Amino acid sequence: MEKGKDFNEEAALAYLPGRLTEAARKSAALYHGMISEIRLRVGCPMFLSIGGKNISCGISPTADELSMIIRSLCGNSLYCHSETIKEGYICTEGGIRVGVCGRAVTEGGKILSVTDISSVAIRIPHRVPGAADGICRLILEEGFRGAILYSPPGIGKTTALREIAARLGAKPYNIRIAVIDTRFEICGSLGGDVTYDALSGYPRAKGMETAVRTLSPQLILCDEIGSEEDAQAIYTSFGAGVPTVVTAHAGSLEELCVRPFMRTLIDSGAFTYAVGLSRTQSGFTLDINRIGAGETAIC
Amino acid sequence: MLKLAGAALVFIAASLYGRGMCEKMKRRLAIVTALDDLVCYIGGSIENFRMPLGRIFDDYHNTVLEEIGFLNTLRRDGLAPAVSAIEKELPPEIYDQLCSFAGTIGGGSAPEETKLCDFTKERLRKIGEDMRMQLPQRLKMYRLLPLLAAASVLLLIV
Repeated sequence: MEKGKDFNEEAALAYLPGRLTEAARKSAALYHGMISEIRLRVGCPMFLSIGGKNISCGISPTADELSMIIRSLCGNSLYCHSETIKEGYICTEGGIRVGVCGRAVTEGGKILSVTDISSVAIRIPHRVPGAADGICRLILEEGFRGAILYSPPGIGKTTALREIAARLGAKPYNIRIAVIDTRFEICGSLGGDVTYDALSGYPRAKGMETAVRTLSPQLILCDEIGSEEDAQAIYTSFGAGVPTVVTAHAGSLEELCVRPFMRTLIDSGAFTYAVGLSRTQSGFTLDINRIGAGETAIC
Repeated sequence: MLKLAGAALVFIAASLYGRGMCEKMKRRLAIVTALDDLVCYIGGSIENFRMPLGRIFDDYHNTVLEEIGFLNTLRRDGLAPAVSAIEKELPPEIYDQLCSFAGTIGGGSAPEETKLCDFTKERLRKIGEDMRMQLPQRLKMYRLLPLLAAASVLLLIV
């Protein structure tokens, strides 16, 4: 599976001041690769992730530059992102997700705001055509099947989910898909020829509930489930006859089942498959585990 | 005859000047009212929809601001350059207020932005009301100007 050419690298570099952009371009040219992540820390060298390697550019952003980058990423509208900044990220209009951290102002254990942002990790989304073909075949088997995709962070779960939406929402399948895009990072970089209902910014559980009640989807896609509330919504959706394809952080199926709600969910039969993703030089390899439809999970 | 012609020329010149000043005052008031409306729109869009500034500027339409080229600059370059471009059209106190607004908007949380919009809106509204109250008197003065000027010239040269 080769990476597509529709990389959002230029869009991401446009947020950086000229000297940093130039340094990033030079490094990308030197290592003959596409940038998948840009890491900026005040007073520390800028790092790029190219082909899975972390490369130092030897040039550091200043506090003023980082603050300008933040404003630029927010489209000069910080108020649009103040809630997500509290959760540690910004998502730009083009679907570029940016991790941020700084000094949290708290009250009673609750984060009121985050100031003095000192680190920024710009994750550049990209299409990997064909990356999800194997998963799509599993989903389409005997009607529609639910699946949970798992891997450690940064392997490409969101990319896989995006590709599933792109594949199944387009011709010849034209499946009625509802995408719960809580963090605005799935739909932003999907092309216009894909038909899907995007519930952007909805909390996951609320999004799934709304989709089932009002959109009559054939399939629901949801990224990074992580709470009992999400699990309950998936189970409700399963009970309503709508399978879900979701992603979760885990290094293995055993690790996935460490969380009790996840184990209950997997045992419930809401998913027919648990698919582990791992990165190879050319794309992903899939570790397919049949866990539902009468079969017992291995955990 | 020459004296009468001179007085007539002064009358015409003063009339044109007076009319120009009347138009300028009305135009300034229209611009201030339109800017008040823009600030109100920005505040509402932030408070209710958390819309980014770029999209707010794209969505906003106003004939007065369109005619003076303000909206074009606003959409292309942002609020601060748009305000700078119409400096001559604005009373100094409004220009200062808008410059401060343009420099601050977008950098805070939604409640802060809403407060800033409310504050700016109040200031613009107050200045606009003062201008509106002064307008009839000023118009009267500018309309009387040609008559007074022509009469003065006649008195001087008779």
